[in-house]
Amino acid sequence: MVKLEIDNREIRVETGTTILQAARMNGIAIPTLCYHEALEPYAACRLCVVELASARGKLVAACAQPCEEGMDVLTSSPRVQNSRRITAELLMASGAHLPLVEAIAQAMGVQWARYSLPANDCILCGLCVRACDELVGARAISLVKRGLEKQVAAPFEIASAACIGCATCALICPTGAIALADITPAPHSAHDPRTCRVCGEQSLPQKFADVEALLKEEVQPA
Amino acid sequence: MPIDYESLTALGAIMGSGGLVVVDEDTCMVDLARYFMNFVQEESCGKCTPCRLGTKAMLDTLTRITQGRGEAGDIEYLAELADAVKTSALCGLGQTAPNPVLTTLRYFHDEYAEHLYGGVCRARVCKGLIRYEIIPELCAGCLVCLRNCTMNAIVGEKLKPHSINYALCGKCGVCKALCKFDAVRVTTGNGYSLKQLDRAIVQ
Repeated sequence: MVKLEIDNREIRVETGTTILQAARMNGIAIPTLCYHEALEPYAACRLCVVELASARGKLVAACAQPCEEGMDVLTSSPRVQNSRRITAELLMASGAHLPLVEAIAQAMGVQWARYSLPANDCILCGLCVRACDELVGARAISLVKRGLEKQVAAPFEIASAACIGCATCALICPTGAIALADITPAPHSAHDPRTCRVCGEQSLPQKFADVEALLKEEVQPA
Repeated sequence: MPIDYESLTALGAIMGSGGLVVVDEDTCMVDLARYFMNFVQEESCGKCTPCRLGTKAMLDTLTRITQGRGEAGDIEYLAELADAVKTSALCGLGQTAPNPVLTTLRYFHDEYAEHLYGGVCRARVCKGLIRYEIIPELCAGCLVCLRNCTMNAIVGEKLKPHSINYALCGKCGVCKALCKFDAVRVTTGNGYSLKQLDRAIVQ
């Protein structure tokens, strides 16, 4: 157990708990964008920054910072709010048309952006890429290029053979930037596709079509 | 000025390569900030929001100012952005990226204001704010600048003072570099030389 203060409230949490988890357990709201409970912290959106009064007012990402004994955390100090405002305003530069970005900006009190870039549905939160890697295990997509050109793509920007068509990336995407397209039969799939007895099309991988075998695998871990 | 970790930090600089750069009065501080911002913007990996978008926003604002297209509020926006990126970026690159902006704003705020509100680049570097002029009294009419002008922007006859066609001038400075009579000067601030402008302000 470690003891710390969040917004002048004394809080006790298990060792290894992040500031974000500790705050949410105690009803203290911290905005997030790239954070997802089922995934490892990514600390990229910088919306969850909090001020460490115990470390000369340093701003850290609450999603990735573990709680430490004697920490003094401020979740809505002027410095924190200022930083979040600019971050939200920057997100608006290319994402002002997205309801999610609009909602975040509104919550920060940002009405319009002083800077604009070509509109882009993807906000590079990396949720899709991490879900594909950590939850599905397929690693069919990744973040490619760098800086402003950074984007989510399959290797060499061609349909990935590793993709099992599970749609996890499309479901986890907070802005709807990933669309599902029916491209059966999957081109060059590494998985053996199963042919539908009615329409004759190939879609579901054979391995995933065999529900009984899959369930057995789940019940009896090797 | 001792060169040690604490003194450099107090100045807003860092210990490390490129942490301290010595320049003279021929370097425009706004252009210098733009140059360094261009470098870090290209180096940004793009993972975190403040560095990916903030460096680009700062670069575009600085570029606008150096081109003479600055808008009211640009200096305040730059200061806000620089502070936010410095405090919230994920890694050391983003955290130090705004340093050239912050230090030039801190020590050369006047130069920013001159660019923005006076149309003046006192180092005569920013092409959007300068103009090359041929001083008729000094020009010998030797045709050297006329023949070497890359844009064919100089008009004149042999042994008669030349003049510059500003519709064509690309502000490359070849004429000034080649003139043996120092007859080419660079002016800034709506076509007036700095001295004229200073005099106008004093009056």
